[in-house]
Amino acid sequence: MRNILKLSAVLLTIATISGTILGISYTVTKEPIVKQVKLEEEKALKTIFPEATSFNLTTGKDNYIYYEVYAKNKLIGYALDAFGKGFSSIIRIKIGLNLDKGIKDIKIIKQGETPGLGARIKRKKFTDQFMNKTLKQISLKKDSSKGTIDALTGATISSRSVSEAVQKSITEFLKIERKQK
Amino acid sequence: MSFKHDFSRGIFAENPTFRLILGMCPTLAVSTSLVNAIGMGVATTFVLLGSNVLVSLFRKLIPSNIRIPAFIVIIATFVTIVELIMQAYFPALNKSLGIFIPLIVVNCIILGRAEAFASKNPVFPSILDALGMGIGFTGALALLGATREILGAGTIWGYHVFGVGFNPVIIMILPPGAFIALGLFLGLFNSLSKKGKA
Repeated sequence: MRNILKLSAVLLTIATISGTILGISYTVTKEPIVKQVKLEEEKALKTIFPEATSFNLTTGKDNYIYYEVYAKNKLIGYALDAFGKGFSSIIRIKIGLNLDKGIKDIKIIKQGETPGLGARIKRKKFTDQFMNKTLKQISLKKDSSKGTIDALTGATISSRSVSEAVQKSITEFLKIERKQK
Repeated sequence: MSFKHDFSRGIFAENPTFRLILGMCPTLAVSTSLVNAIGMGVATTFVLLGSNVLVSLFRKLIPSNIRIPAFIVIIATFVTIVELIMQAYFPALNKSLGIFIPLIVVNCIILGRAEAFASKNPVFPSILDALGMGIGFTGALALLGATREILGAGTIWGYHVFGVGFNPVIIMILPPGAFIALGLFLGLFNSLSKKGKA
């Protein structure tokens, strides 16, 4: 009995010390981490809008969040977030829209698809297909007669997930846009 | 037991992957390409170094009945702090190694070395042990990663090796390929070490 109490006390001490240290490191690193995430985000946006000078996170109707992109105080486009369920991961995509709501470019921010297969969705050769497409054209060729996107060989699910996510995200943005007018 | 032995043991004679068969889960999961393999290997080596030092420092304070939970708490705390610091101050490092760090907490090489070596030895040999094991693990992963990447994607470190016409054996970068490659390497290492003894 004595022994159990002593062992518990030692383990409790270890856990308490660990907890305290963890709490301190969390508090200290919280701010810088938020800053890094924001920096990372802007870097991704910058590759879509190289001429942009600032990105304003905007909350629209129904708590819809998007970026307004400015170059020298002039609105030049919008940036949206899109999420798609891929073959083995959640795919995060940034979409850049021109002022006329046409697609400027898309960029895969995060994905964990099969290396060598689905992971190829992040290559320029695939994402460039989305440039200047209308909403209806953003479907896989094999899914829709109007579709213009070539699926990657051996990675239909990943390719479809990206095009559906992009389509869904833009549709939603346009809907919110209309409501705001 | 010499210092040299503490260091070199992990690289071949007691290679964690091919001889001790430790840490199979990350080995199978991340050896899809050479870049991933090296990333995981480096991150594991670093965590192993830290946990071996800490466990070795505290080894006399921790009663042996509760050593396993105590080690787990120490290792998990260390890994979490490393992860937070990397996210906050080293974004480039975080980008290449970040995804492997949480995986390492469940890597039994770390606990295995804490239990088998660091809890019974002073700090300096524990450091050597961690470095040796880490290098052995990194080497084994790199070997598997390179093999699977070359066969399964036709690339090495992301660069094409066979030209455009090459049709890769896709199964090698899928989960079954991990078992096939690991099995073949295990067989090879077993036969090599038998020859050494005879």
